[in-house]
Order: sequence, then C-alpha cells, then structure tokens
Amino acid sequence: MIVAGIDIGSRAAKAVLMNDSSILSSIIIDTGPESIKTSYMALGEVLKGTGLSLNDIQYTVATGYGRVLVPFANENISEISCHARGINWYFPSVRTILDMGGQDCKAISCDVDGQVTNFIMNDKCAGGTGRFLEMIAEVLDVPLEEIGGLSLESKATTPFNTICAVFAKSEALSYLKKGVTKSDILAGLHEAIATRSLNLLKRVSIQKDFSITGGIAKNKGMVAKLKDKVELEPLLCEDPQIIGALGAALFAKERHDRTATKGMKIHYGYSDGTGNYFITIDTNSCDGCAECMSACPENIFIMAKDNSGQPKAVVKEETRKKLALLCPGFHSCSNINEVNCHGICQKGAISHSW
Amino acid sequence: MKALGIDIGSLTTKVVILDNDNIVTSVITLSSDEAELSARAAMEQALSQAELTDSNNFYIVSTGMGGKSVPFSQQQKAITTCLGRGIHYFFPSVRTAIDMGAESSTVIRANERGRIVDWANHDKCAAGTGVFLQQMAKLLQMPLEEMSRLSFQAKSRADISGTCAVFAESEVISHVHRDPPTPKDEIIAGIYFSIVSRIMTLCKRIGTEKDVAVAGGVALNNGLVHALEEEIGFRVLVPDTPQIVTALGAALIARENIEKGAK
Repeated sequence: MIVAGIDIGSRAAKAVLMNDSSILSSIIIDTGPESIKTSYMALGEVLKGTGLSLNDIQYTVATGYGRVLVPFANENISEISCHARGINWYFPSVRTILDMGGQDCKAISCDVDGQVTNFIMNDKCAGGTGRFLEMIAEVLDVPLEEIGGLSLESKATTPFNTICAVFAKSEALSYLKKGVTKSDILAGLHEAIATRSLNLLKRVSIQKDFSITGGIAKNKGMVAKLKDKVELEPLLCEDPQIIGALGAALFAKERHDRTATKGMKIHYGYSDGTGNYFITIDTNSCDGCAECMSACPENIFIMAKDNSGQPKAVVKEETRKKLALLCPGFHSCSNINEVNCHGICQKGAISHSW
Repeated sequence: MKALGIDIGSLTTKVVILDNDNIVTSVITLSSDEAELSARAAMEQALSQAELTDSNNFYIVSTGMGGKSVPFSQQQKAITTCLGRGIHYFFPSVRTAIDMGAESSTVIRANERGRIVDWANHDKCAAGTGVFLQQMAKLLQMPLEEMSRLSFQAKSRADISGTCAVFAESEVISHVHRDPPTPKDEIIAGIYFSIVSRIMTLCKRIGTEKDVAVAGGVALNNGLVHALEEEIGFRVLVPDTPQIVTALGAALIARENIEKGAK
C-alpha cells in the first residue's frame, strides 16, 4: 500500500512516500510563495524515480504551515502530532522532542505510542529559529551549513544577552568590528538559542529519551550545545528534517487502514419469528478471489468494490430478503453439497448464523 | 559650574548643557561601539559649539543604555528618571511620557514635579522600536519622511504582526508582492499600527493619564505620532527636539545637584 506524507513548512517543503512500513523516497525542497504550487512540486519530486504516479497513492496526509492548501491531501494533521508520530517510528523510546523549524520552535512530550501529551511552541518571535541562524550566517558571511561546525571551533564563547534576532544581528556586527572571531560569535549565538530552547523544553518537562527534529537538528554545533544544556544525549535520525512528513505518511497509513477495515464484518440477511438468518462476510479477510461465487449452488454471491476500491464478496441485494429460502444454512448445505462457500473460502471470511 | 547631561543611546548620543534654566547647547551624534568614546566625542562637540573650554568645570550626569560606562560623569541616573524630569521641563502638565527610542520603548507616569510614579519598558526585542521602523523604511525603499507623509493618505491598514520584526518583514514583502499589491500607504499604516500596538501594551500596563507627551527619535515621525493619537484617543504633545529630552533630564538633575552642593 502506497501512502504519502507532505509537510509544507515555512522555509522548506518535505514529502515522504511509504510502501507499507518502509520509506520509498523522501525529498526536501524550498517552499515557494505559493503553497499549492509547492505541494505539487514536492509530490512530483518524491514520485520521481519510483515509477509511481499520484493515482497509485492511496492516502495522503498534509501537515505544516501550508497544510490546508494541499489540494490532493485526504486529510491534514498538525505538525506537532506528525513529529511525535514520526520520531516514534524511529525511536519508540523518545518522550521529549525539540522541533527546530524555519520559523518556529516546539517542545513536544509524547507517550509510548507517539501520541502528543503536551507541547509548547514559539512561533511569535524569530529568536531561536532557523530564520535567526540564516540571518546570522548572512551577516558573518559563512554558509549556513558551516556555521555549526565553525561554532565548535570556538575557544571562548562570546556572551549574547539578547534573544531578538534583530538585536543579535547588530550585536554580532559590533563584536565582529572589535575583532572577535566568527567561531566565538557563533558559539555565543548557538548558546543563546540552546538556552532558549531549554526553557521551552523545561515547560513540557524533560524525560528520557530526547530527540531533535527539524532542519536545525542537522547543525552539529546546535546539537552539541543542546546536549550540554539538556544533559541528555539526543537520539538523531538520518534526516531529522523529514520527520514531520514521515509522521504524516504514518498517519496516512493508519487512516487508510481504518477506512479499509471500517465495517469489518458485514451482515446480510434478516431475522424473523423462526430465527436469525444472516450471512456474515469479514471484509478484512476477504481478498476478493470470487471462488465463493461459483461454489454457491444458489449463486447468492457477487463481487463488488468497497470504499477503497478493493473487490469484496457481497450477498446479492435481491436475495437478502429471502435468504432462508435460497440458502439451507451451512450445516444442511455442507451435508448436501461437497463444495460450499465455507469450504472454498481460503480466508474463512464467510460465516452463517444458521 | 555648569550642568551637563549625557544620554548614550543605542543609536545616538545626546548631550545637553544647561546654564540655570536655559539650554546653552545640545548635540546629537551617532553612538559608536564604545560608550566612553561616544560620550567624549559628543561632549567635545558640545563644548566647541558652546565655545566653552574648561571641561572640568561641569557637573555631569550620564544616562541611557551606556550611561554606566562613562567614567568621567559624577552621577549615573536611570533613563526613566531623566525622562520624567526632561519632559517636565518642556510640558509641566504632562503626567504620561512615552519614549520611543531606537532599540527600546519606555512609558512613564510622572507627578506634577516630574518624579516617576510608575514605568514600563520594552527592550528585549526589536518589534515596535526605531530600528524596526528604519528596517521597514529600507524595505519599502523610501525615506522616513516620505513614509510619514504617505501614511496620512491611507484609507485602511494592512495586517502586520507586531510581535517580531523579522516576521513582520516577511509579511511586508508578501504584501508588496501580492496580486494586486497592497497600496504602500496601507502597508505603512499597518507598520505604524504594529508599533503603536506594542507601545499601547506598555501604556495599558501602567495606565495613561493626561497630558501625554512623546520623546525619543521616533517621535519626529508625524505619521506615527498621529497613529498613536488615534489609539490613545486624544492629542499628544511633542517637544521641538524630542531626542534630547532624556539628556536634558540628566542635565536638570546635574543642576539640582550643583545647587544642593552649594547650599
């Protein structure tokens, strides 16, 4: 079963394609000004090379800031739930997650099933977000990917007494003018962000194990500072940036399973003064092989598509009201006929009430 | 002995020299990274402007962000105290003064003698400060005067968040690139409103009492002052040189100290 999760964030859009329980492909692209266009681009990219098309995807869940604007999504779920679900797939032992995104930062607590139990977020201020780091990288003229590594080279951390991105920028500039090295300035800024994140984490209470998700989790310097502050070794997955989209794909799988198993047992028939006459078909086990159609001497079965387009055995509508007259019931039938619906069904999906 | 007040702000350094009740001279210069250097440079400029030479014959009170790092001042005073004293000199009827600086906003309530009753300030983040306004002017590529003029034409205002200067910037960009683009006057009205709403939260915290006056460099922006008046609900008083109010307050305190010493 193919499902997709798509995470339209403020700075980057992520998509994950899953087949049952394995990741088929995942991509990260920049979020453009139009969310709808971005979502189609992300979808196109994630399908590239898999030989699949949009029609092969059975369920899509969208998440992130732009989640309501994804036209092909079956459902949208908040990114907080998705991050918890996504990290739970990698590390079921994780109870505390710090999601450091492009324009916000969230501390999330979750339980053993990856269900969110508490969260705190900062989306009101650019301090401590990816945007902050981008601005600093620009001011110091260091590529964004290198600032983390460079901050680790610092010998004396420059103290920053501000959390505002605008003030930090001017403070960094004045330090630079005084001749403070870029690595010391970066170490100070990373420290400031880590302190701020720690305050968020404290408000949801920190429990073992701890993990960091979002784009900033790729910044080694940030991870090292957080490790010192939180005093826990963070569990990191190979690509922490796609966790939200992964969680969305996992939700898609769950939701799809739930729709498929809806009305798991369908009863056809009636009850009157003489007794209950129901033929029950377990749609969960029925694989639509159509063997029962030919096995029944009275031809009461037919194949019909269910909600998700799978063929399933169904009792013909016109026979349902007079079922007891056509079908002698399982015991009698099996005595008369060698081949019967119960015997022929490999999955044991059919049962009789009489 | 003359009284001299120095206010070292994050963007500019202000010096006021008083002779009894008259302002002999006032100077506004850009601050440098070192508070002490800023203070010395501004003081020298003020002395030469006033054609005074003997720099030892002064009682100096320093204030502002860098007020503590002026080694040659006799006394350091809080911004709020100086603001109250300074605004009282211009308008004795003022009970609420709003200082809109480059990197902070301060609101004080003062009594009939210009002494502080209550105060609230905001200096943790750039939203609602002069830096924010400057950043917006740069973004819209127009001088602050032009912004102020245009804001009076606005019929409605764009929705711009007042919580973060960085996020507000992207909101403005998206307004500019919208199809059709939001008119510039409406964007400016939105920017002004976001600054004013930030100041209003401070005002609400301590309560406003008539008369209200504004000080600080941002007070030179007529459009913004007008937007503030609309929110407060009555006219606010603006001194001729709103930037020097705090430095003047420091100088007034210096003069008092001279008088006390003479007694």
